[in-house]
Amino acid sequence: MRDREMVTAKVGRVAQAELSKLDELYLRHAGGAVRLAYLLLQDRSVAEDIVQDAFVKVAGRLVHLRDPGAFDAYLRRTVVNLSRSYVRRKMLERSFLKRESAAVARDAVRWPTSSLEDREVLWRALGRLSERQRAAIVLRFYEDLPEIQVAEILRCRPGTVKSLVSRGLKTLRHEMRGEPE
Amino acid sequence: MNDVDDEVRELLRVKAQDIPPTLDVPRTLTTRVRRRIAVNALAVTATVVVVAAGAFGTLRAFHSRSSQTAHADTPCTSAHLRAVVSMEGAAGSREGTIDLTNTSGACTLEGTPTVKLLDQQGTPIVSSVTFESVPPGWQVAGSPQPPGWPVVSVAQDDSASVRVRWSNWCADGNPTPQWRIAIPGSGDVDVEGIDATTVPPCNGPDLPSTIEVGPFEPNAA
Repeated sequence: MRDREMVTAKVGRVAQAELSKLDELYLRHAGGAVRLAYLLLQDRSVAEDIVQDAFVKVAGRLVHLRDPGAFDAYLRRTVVNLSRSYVRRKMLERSFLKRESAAVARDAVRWPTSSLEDREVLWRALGRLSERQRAAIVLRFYEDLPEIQVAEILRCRPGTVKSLVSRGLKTLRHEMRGEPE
Repeated sequence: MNDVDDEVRELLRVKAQDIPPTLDVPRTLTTRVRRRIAVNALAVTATVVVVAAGAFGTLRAFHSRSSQTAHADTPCTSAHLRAVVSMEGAAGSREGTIDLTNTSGACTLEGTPTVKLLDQQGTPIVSSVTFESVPPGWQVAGSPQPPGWPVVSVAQDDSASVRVRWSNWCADGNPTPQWRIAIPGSGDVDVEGIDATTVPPCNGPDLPSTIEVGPFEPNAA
């Protein structure tokens, strides 16, 4: 009984310390994390859910966090992994491809005439890339991470990152301009 | 060749502005984190207790050859298990565990059970439902592998659990389906606790409903 009380008290202390640290980290990092998840998933509410899941996932390890810089990288990796899992699990890509196949045809016929329209076509085309290609492009071009760091997050070689980005851009060029893939 | 690169950069920069700055911490996050920390702490405590109990048991066995292990390797049967699900919302789905309480003598569970969805007539729903597997909770939480896993020993009145996630249920006016869990090598057990609150939102009527089930693992709670 006494052991149980001690454990409860300890859990309470740890929880309080972690929660106050978590609040601070959430306010500092959540916005960027939601933006990253949104660019990967193209759905704001799902992006917010994913980031909340990521924070819950990392919450139990905050007491061990000594380097604040490491949290950013850890959170980013968790968000990317959860986003990729989400895409795979929900088969969003498949349904998206199916739903958007009509849009592809429309885009091909109706070439964009304004930069705004151009941007929306590109946004949809980005959403049709494979989750790995999209993640590589977002991490390289939005997060400005070097290939070696992207490779660490995607658990592949830097050469694979280069190839993912290159193939993704080629597909985008093809969809935007009709250049051969 | 850099034209699309620049356009992509610009697009991502502009689209990222759709997300406003974060000004407060959601209350649901605080609740979930508090629960997570408590579960982690209890899991560590339980692990210590199990390891200590295991060491004690080994020492006892070393000193006296008794026949007390007769029930330890007995597989649990569906007749002596009670299954209760508890789930909460997570990224457009429902996630949680099915707790299996052993109502008889000590027994073991091993492997990954299957889950069936039943309509009001008790007929399994098979169309538009896909079943997938997920890793155990301890692995997801980054906790150490429980001693003895994948074999899970369950003492009388103790429980084991399996991780479950249910997504995309488009009821279309139909009542909530009931769940039944099939124990490997034994029969089925009706799962209690499925109600309107455990049903996930409809993400797309054209997409299948997905049920993901993990292997048996010691109950952390």
